[in-house]
Amino acid sequence: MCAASLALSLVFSPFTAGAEEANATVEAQGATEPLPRNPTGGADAPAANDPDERRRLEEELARELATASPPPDAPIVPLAPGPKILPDISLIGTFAAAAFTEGPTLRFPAHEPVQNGPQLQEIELALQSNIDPFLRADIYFAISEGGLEVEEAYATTLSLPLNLQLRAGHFYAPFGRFNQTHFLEATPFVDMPLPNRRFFGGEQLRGTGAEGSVLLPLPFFLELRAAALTAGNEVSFGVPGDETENPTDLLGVARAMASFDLSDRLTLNAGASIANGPNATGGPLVTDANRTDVFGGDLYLRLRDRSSRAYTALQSEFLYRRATAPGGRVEQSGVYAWLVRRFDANWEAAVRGDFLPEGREVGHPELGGEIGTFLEPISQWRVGGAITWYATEFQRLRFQVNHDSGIRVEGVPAESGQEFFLQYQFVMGAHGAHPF
Amino acid sequence: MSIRFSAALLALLVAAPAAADVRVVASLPALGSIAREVVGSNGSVTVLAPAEQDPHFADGKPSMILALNRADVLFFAGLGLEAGWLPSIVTASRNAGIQPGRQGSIEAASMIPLLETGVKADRSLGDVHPGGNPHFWFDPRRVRTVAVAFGEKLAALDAKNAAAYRANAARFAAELDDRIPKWKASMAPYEGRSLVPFHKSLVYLEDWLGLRELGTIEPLPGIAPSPSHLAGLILRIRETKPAPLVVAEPWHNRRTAETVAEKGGVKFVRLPGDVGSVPGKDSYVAHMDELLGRLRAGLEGK
Repeated sequence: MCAASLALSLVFSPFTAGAEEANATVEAQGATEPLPRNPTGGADAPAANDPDERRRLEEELARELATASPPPDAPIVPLAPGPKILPDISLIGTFAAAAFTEGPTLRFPAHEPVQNGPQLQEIELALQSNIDPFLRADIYFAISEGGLEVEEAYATTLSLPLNLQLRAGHFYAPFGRFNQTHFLEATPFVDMPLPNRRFFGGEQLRGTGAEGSVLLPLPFFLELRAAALTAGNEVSFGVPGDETENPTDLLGVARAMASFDLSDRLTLNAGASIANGPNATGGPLVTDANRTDVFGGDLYLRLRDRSSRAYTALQSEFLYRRATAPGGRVEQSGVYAWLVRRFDANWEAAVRGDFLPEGREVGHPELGGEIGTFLEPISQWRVGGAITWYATEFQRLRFQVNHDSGIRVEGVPAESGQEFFLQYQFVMGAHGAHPF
Repeated sequence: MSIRFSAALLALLVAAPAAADVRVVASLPALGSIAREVVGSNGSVTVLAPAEQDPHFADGKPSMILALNRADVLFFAGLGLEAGWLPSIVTASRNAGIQPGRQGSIEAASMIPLLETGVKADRSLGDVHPGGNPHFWFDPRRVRTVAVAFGEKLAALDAKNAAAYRANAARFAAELDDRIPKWKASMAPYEGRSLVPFHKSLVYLEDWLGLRELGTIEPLPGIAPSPSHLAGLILRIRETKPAPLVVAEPWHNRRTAETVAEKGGVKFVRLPGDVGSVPGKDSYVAHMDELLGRLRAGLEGK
């Protein structure tokens, strides 16, 4: 049907053109041109691959058939009968046993171990598939003792022009490196770095919305991302999705990331991110006045060994938060750095240092509401080390020890403590990609 | 006059800016070496994975996203060999033409008869490739088939240079037709001999040369060997006459392989990595010369 109407409009375009508006004459000329030169329409005719000709035809067809976007220029290879069309399904189970010398008071329930003894950290169920030739979708459910939540669920475009890509749904905000990773599955530790925990909370910075990104046409990799998401983060930001009324109630996030191959084996990634959104210090209705900015810089240096699974990587992020509350503002920064050494297919060791220097209050900010606790300019630091044994590609055992300084608030002595974790993880189903 | 004009036009076309040439990105060096033969001077070939790394575990670096972004064609092995690193960078490339199913996404494994198909898709069998063994480039007969089929795919994609792609593929096929019997003859004295590879990556080579596989150092694909598995393997090596040859690619644990060979009382040969891992052996033919030379030396007991 579609092919027939296409052929008809080509053959009869001189006639149909006469019946259309004034500028149709121009179209008709364009349409008649190929016919005399290429009367048989044979595949070997030179005009078949003339890019100008092709573009003209595409434009003409878009006008005449009113197709907003051209169909893919190649047929999709049909699947052989037999295999069912199913998404890639994988399931990652993560369990931990924890011991805290001072009690787990420094942690809040989320996906980190939060109690003495064994516990389920998370079962992650991932469904990933192409939707059609233009979109793919990635859905991650996180099942923990608290129930089932949608960790991420988004669709990504595959074929936008100009190196653009759109993503829509529920996803981790494109801020820094750590925030965009499923940390239980993709980092060498059992827990989160302090600055990310402090500024973005146990669920990390994520929301429902859309993101546009572009890969710039440069000799090196430079990618820009910008997203607008619901801001119900409740740690630095605070308008839940169901209370959103104005565009300014949303969280805006932007990121630039560049990558350089310093040698065949050494790669440097550097990024800068910014997030701006409302906080709930003055109540949800005055979000234009009470806002939080978070600025971040991140570095990742990775040296791959020759002919081996082994690599060494250094990852560090700096975050700076400025939150305006009625009567003043709070400013605080934080930094973490980790060094990981993957020795071979089976062993890995990593050390991490997290540092939250004491922040400052400007004026007399009223840090009320639930969010207030998380905005207080406390100081804290933590160092830890982890060793991991990958029994196979599909299961691993990890032991981690932390020393935590405790939360230091002015006038209150901090209680430092040790934390011990033993973590077990298995992977079932589709082979996931190894994050770089 | 007209001939001279055509010649001038041809020269102009050949010297046309790089943007007009086909840009092929090959996931692995072996595929890159095939693509270079077929593309010839009509475009460029970029290889993603390093020649000295295990093709299962390359790093999907951002610079690869950039290369994929600018590619007209992605040429990959398939069967899940590159599943750990390629799919996510293909999505991030924002290049519609090379997405799965599109004309610019060319899977080599789909062009040839495969070995070890129909393996049960069960991880109790290790990190299996249920669609078949993907390490086909160790068999030059299959490489020949892939080169010709790749030439046809390129011809369909870039009709202007179709004749050149077909001619290049035919020339490479002819070169292989010349080499294959010679290679085979050079290995004929060892027909029926046994290899002990580290990983199940040599089944196509064994199939071509009539070699046997006594066992692999890995008990199952991707599973690290236990002492009991190795002890059993070593005992079988000792019992097998003529002596098997223990072989391993550079990314496999050399000490384990050498220990197995030593305790089994047989030779160990370090195989080259992928095409280009040995300096100066940058073409597929030179690489196979090197690979077979090392195998012969090992099987001779040198």
